[in-house]
Amino acid sequence: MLATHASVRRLYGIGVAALFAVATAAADITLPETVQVHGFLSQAYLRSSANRFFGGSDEGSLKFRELGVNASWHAQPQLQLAAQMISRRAGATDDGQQRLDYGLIDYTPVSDEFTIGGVRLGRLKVPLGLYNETRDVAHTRPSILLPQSVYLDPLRNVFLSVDGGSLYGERRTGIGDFYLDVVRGRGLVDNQELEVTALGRDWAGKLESDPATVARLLYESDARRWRLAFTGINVPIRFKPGSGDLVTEGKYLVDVRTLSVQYDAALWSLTAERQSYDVRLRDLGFLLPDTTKEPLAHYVQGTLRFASRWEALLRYDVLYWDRYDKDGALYAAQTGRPAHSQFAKDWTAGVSWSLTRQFMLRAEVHHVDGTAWLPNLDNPDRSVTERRWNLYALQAAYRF
Amino acid sequence: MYLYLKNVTFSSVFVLLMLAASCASAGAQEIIANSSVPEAVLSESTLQAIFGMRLRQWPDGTPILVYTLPDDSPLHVTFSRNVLHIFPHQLRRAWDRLVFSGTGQAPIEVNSEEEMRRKVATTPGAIGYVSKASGTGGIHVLPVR
Repeated sequence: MLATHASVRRLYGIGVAALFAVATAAADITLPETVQVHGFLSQAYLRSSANRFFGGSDEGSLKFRELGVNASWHAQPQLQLAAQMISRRAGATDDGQQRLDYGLIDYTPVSDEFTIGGVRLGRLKVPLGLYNETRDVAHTRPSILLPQSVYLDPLRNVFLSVDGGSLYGERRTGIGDFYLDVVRGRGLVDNQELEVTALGRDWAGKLESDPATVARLLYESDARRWRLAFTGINVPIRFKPGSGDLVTEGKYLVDVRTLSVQYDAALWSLTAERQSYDVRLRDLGFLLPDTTKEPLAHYVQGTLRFASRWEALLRYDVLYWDRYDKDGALYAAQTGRPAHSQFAKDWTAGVSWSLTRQFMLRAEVHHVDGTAWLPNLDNPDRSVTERRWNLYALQAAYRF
Repeated sequence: MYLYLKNVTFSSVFVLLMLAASCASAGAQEIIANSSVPEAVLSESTLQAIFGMRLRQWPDGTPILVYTLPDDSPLHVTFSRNVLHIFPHQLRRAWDRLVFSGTGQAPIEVNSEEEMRRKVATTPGAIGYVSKASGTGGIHVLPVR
């Protein structure tokens, strides 16, 4: 799979930027009250003591930029249409090519004081855990980078959006509110970083998603203090070999189960998520023998709103690519690659400053033991990666 | 003796000021709706669903149009905490999630109570909140259960 020519990519970026400019102007024009336009733009600077994350961060990288614009139209009381375009630059893993992030029709035939029920069709965001649906929008994240163990960047395309439909329902009870989302559709898995993560290298062929299933049950307590969620996802992906690939048409299967807990107080919040994965290769031929891996991810995060417009964050995030080989020793013995590529333990401390309601500045530092979530395209040669490393990040983010 | 009197005076003034301050911040808040909206007693749970932008239609099927003040306006903060029993940052988080995933819209933000009254009075299906609704035509006050 070839990356698009640099000048074409730049054109795409300019296209979305132009759309963004028009949209910001449009937001000032009086639109009917049923139509809304929103958008966001963020730019980060990343610097790592070793290893590369989103570009040449070992020498300082500006290659992390998110740009998006969306529109929604509440056309009828029961009918809403919405679409969002995104252009995201993330080192070698995302080239800024504009894409449709979501585009959907939402019909809500059931809607009363206690119950809401409806159906959505089109390109839908995947409801995984607490942060996945809006993972590319800086203002909806608790930090510059989402906890990589659960929101693993090399696998992001498995869980980004699906083309299909969903059924959703809400029920308000005396003990709190319950939300259920069941989604079925094909994911956007034709992605270079995902292919290298899944199949070891960028083959001539491509990945295609068979229909995936996502279900999330979320509970919010009476005063919204507690949020609990359970998510289960099954994504069957097929690999279609291209010319010259010594690989047969086989499968890459990803299943996750995620448990999420969040507690909100007036000035602080506590969040924890735990995700277990099943990642399987099947029928891909002798170069990619059948394997089953069970990665394990969890993090605990505290945030403190210590002054109006300011927030501090502390997080401990752990990822193991194989729960039965937590120190990677087995992996190193079998493949000769670094054991530290099989785990990552990340202490993150960060601070946010909302200068205005639209504009936010963030700074954070990650102290990491392990290289499990380093993007493959930024780090093609794992033998030069270092086990212990720090990542410093600054981000400016604007939303409207 | 003089010092004692001074302390008592200072304490009394302090207490009065605190009472006044708590009255001002708790302040009367009233939920107002356009006169086209049928009068009803709304439960706290329904109000949370309306201002959380999840319930989008009135029982007769007309769309609910929600108006709010800016996130850091004192009236919004006290409305959020005292009437909805939700923290303002939770409301903002919920709205952002809807807006940036295509599954809902944000409330319409107005800049002052004046504008709030005017918008709610002239927009069918509208709901909002003010400190005191007295004297505004075209609206009625919705009590909370």
